[in-house]
Amino acid sequence: MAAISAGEFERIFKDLYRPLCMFALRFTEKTEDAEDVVQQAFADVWDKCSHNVAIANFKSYLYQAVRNRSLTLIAQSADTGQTTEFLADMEDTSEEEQMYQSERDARLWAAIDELPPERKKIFLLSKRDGLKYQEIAEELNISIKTVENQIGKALKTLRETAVRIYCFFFS
Amino acid sequence: MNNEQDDRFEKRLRFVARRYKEGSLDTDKAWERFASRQGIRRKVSFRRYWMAAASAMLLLVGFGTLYMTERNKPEWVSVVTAPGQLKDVYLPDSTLVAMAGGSTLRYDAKIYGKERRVVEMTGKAFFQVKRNEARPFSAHTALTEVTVLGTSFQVNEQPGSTEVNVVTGKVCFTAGKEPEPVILTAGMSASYSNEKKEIEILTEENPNNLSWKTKQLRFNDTPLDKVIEDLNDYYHVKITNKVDSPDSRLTATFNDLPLDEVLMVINQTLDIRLVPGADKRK
Repeated sequence: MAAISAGEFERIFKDLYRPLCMFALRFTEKTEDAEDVVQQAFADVWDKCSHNVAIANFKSYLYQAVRNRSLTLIAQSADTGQTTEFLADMEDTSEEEQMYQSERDARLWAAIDELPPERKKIFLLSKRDGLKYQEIAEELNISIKTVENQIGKALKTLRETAVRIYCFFFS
Repeated sequence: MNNEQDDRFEKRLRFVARRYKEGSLDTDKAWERFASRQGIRRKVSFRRYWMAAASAMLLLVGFGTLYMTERNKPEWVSVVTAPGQLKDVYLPDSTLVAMAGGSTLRYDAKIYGKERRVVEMTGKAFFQVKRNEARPFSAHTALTEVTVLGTSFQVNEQPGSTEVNVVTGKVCFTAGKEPEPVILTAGMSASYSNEKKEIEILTEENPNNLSWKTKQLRFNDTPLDKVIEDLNDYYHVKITNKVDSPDSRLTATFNDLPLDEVLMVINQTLDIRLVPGADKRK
């Protein structure tokens, strides 16, 4: 405990939790797995702090820990087919770039979180579940026009969020 | 946003949307889970503890004050007798109060016997006080205060005056603005009135002071005027003497006899004519 106060640790935890989860989600499919991995990584760091083991860079250490734990996790599970695509995608980006990317992803997640419920539902049916507009319209008993309209609005909101993020990160 | 960024946005959006799950990645919940597992008490919660402690304290003080005022609030026990009605009242310390008709007695049940034993009264009452030297007993009337440790005495309070008759033991009698209390011992009587504004020791003992209680009227070579006075008191009447007989004295004892029988006996004995009238005090 001597190395870092509980309050300071809490601040770091809250800052890094979601980005780290997004990072873990590059390896694992399930959000539950990602959250578990991140929790374990933090527990490991907390344990080290309690035993006065100095950690030079928390953020970098945590990302490293999450990556290693995630890889261990997917190595244990048989199904690794889908994740390789992302692994390949990541190989050429730097560690720093991966952190930024995870932070941007976390913001996008938050932006989706904040969409109005009905709009969010339609948006997710399309982008997450891969339903066609026609199918969504039938599923929810609404017109295709409404589906298009709602998805258009959702995309607009998310794009604006992204623009803000990009401006922030690249300015 | 240029095309390259647009491409990246599409890609990231797909990535995030694919994995998005309602209610997942809740940072606050995650921290709570983490903190409880690691046994971390949060700084924020310390402040909350303080707030909670402070509110609890305030509540406590509030209720405490309420409780104290509630507790100090008197809880009066009152006994009232109708004219002519006699009543024996036992106080919590088993002190006996024999109340004459048309009297009231009250005490605060919450503090009676705690440090002192205090009753307030009007009218006439005879006290047989349970001895307790640690907790003096006081009977208050509008004008006077009788304090005893343990004895029997009578207080006769009337508008404008109060008389005390001590039967056994010793009492301390204070009245009005008199600074000096008067100690009365067995057989002594004293009175205080608004007119005289001082305590007057009554040397002459009236054996009929307690007749309302003992149901016995005793006369021992008593002047006729005094006999009439006692009869008026006992029977609540106004007796007039139709025959002039200034030096008549009576020696007799009546045990709760009806008034006409008593008057008949007296009239025959002293050869006079006493006639009852309505008691104007009623």
